[in-house]
Amino acid sequence: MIEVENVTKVFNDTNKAVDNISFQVNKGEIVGFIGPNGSGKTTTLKLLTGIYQKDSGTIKVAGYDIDKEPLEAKKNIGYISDSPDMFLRLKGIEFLNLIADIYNVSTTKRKERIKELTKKFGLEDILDSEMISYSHGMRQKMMVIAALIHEPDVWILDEPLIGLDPESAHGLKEMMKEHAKKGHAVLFSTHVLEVAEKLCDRVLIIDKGKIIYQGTLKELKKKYTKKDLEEIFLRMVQDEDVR
Amino acid sequence: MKMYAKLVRTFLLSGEMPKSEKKNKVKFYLTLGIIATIFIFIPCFILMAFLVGSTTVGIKEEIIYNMANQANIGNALLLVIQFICIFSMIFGFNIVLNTFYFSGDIEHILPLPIKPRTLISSKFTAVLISESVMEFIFLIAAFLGFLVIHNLNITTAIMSLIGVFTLPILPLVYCGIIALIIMRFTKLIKNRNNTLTILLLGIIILLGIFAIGYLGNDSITEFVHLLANGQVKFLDVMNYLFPSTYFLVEAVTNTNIAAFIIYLLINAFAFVVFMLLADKLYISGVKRISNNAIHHKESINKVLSNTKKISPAMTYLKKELKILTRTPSFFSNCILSNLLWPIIIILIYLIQGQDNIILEFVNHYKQQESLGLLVVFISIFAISALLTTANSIASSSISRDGKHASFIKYIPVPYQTQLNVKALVSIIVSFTFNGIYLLIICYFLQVTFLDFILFFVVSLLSCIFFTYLGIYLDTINPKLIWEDELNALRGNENTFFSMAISMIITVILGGGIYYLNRVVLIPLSILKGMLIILLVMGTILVYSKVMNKGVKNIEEIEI
Repeated sequence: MIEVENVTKVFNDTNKAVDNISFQVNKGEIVGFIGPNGSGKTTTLKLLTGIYQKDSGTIKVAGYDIDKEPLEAKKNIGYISDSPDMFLRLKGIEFLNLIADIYNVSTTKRKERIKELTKKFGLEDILDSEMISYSHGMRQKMMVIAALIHEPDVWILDEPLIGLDPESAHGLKEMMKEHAKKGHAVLFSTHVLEVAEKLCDRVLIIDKGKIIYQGTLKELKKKYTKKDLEEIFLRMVQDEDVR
Repeated sequence: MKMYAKLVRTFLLSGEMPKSEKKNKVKFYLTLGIIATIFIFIPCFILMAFLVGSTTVGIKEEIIYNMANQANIGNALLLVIQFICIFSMIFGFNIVLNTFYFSGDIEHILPLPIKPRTLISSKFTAVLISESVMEFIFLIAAFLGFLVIHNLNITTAIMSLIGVFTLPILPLVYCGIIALIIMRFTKLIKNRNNTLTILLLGIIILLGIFAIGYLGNDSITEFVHLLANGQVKFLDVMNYLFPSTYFLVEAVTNTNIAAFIIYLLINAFAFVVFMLLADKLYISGVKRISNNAIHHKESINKVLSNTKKISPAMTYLKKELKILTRTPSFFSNCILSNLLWPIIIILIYLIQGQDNIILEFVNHYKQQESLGLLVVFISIFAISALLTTANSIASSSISRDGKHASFIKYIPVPYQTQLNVKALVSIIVSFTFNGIYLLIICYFLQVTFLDFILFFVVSLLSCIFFTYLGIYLDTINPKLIWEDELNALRGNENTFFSMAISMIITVILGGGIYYLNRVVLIPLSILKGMLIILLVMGTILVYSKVMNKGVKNIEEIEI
């Protein structure tokens, strides 16, 4: 569902933020995107959603090339950015309706989805308030609901669990599993290795713009025997630094 | 002191517009800067210097020939700087409030071990330094205009220079004290809503009426006579409100060092009072903001009962309008500012008294004289152009999205649609005000139906043209990094350049039409048609530029 081939992104002609990366996220998969700060995770996700323009390579989402058929590709994406402070002057319900209208969700369907999702995240009573009055966690939940309201095939989530309370985080993780089970794809970035371990079918480890590992965490553990995930991750990043 | 200097630098940098790193864009902005300096800054400077200089000459003549009091020689300068103080206070209030209470840096700085006194003094300094460039230009011009006519020497030049940069202290202290009191003791501002903005508008109108009332409405000659004899009540009242101005003018008029020291002491005293109050009130005022988060609880079924699917373009339009009207800084600068025009026009009308040029042209028009017809026709175009660009809705349409401009890029709505909707917002707001003013003008001028239609078309075309021009400028280098919403507009070069271009085009078109009509003797009816054709062509050109190059610029935005 996501196909990335030899993609490179250079900022200001010198800073290679993403360096010739290739990977796939298949139907029914949850893939975790792991890497240290500034490794290129957010840049990659922004390339996938069309926010950034790549310098070379190809990106396909749900079969659509992000350059040639950007609108079709975007229609199939549910994206959560790394900051939830968006359009805070809108009321919660206005924001959700905005997103639903943009993604062409019918009146009946959106009512169902809004009821279901706001109940899951405990926001059903405050939809009539401007989002400026929401806490950080509430805003993050609102972004999650907005990204999922149109039931997109592909979820691209940048640190989606940050700011969520344990109950909501659990709810979102369950939703990711259900979504993958239905044959859709989930790609999300995280710093929490335990989350990746429990949730992901595969992980992509990125450092300095290069993908240094892709596969299951099980395989990774086999490769580095007698080490926990944190140690393995640190070792890999250090090795990459030496190289 | 080190911390103070560091904070001032940080606040100033965070308010600055990031410079584009692409060479062609740097060149483009440099060219615009040079054009703006030649056509806006220099003419404004000369005009202000001439105004103060010529009025001072008039006062001097009154002193020599009509035995007016020598002490009043600096009254023209005093009048100008007092007006600037009023404007500084009116526009400064929003800036002070935003910088002190609603800036995004507050929540990061408050937990740091920084004394409230250091924090607020550095914020105050940052506000003072980043006062409008135009204000400093007017002040320098006013002092120069005065000193060239009377008492130019090194001492007065130095005193004037210090005066130019310290004059806004007192108005800003007033703004600061009002903000401290409102934020600490009242509930006027909940979640940064529009209550205060509307209150501000009330103050502006009251001050406008107050100023007009105290200026009198005599002829210019009579007005100079009153100034020379110290009979302008406005000055007396303003001397109480801004006592520092009186001493500064006295200092430069008579090279009076003692008066200058008193001027500095007044500013220092005002600043100390402000700091003492800030020490007591600032932190508790800031804390009250976070307690203002109140949720309006409503059952989901009731909330969803109004939910109905609409088109992406319509929903986008609603979003833009809601954000524009609900964000106080946007509401005051982009919408309420449109109400300032009638006040300014009435002010100009009343100041002129018996030698009223506006009235003269109105009479010319009513008598269907060609000069009157010409001036009214050009004015309709100019008002629409200036109103559309001055409210900055178009030229900040991308900038206002700030750090979330990425939304434009990841939603499945064509960039063309999004830019057209943003243009529509500007056209709706600008042309609503334009339309109202047009109706009033047409009523007073008793225009014919044909002229009414013609004015309507010219005004609408002018509005559309400058809207797309503003949008195009904002796609080139939008100001997307800002700490508070006001900063999306303040210091936004796109807004300034958009206005500068509208002024230049107005002057060129106005001058061209005047020349063709009065010198080449082309009938006005033909010129009207030519202007409409020119506007249609220009609008098509700038529209296609937005739809092609503007869209490409959006694609290149990386945030």
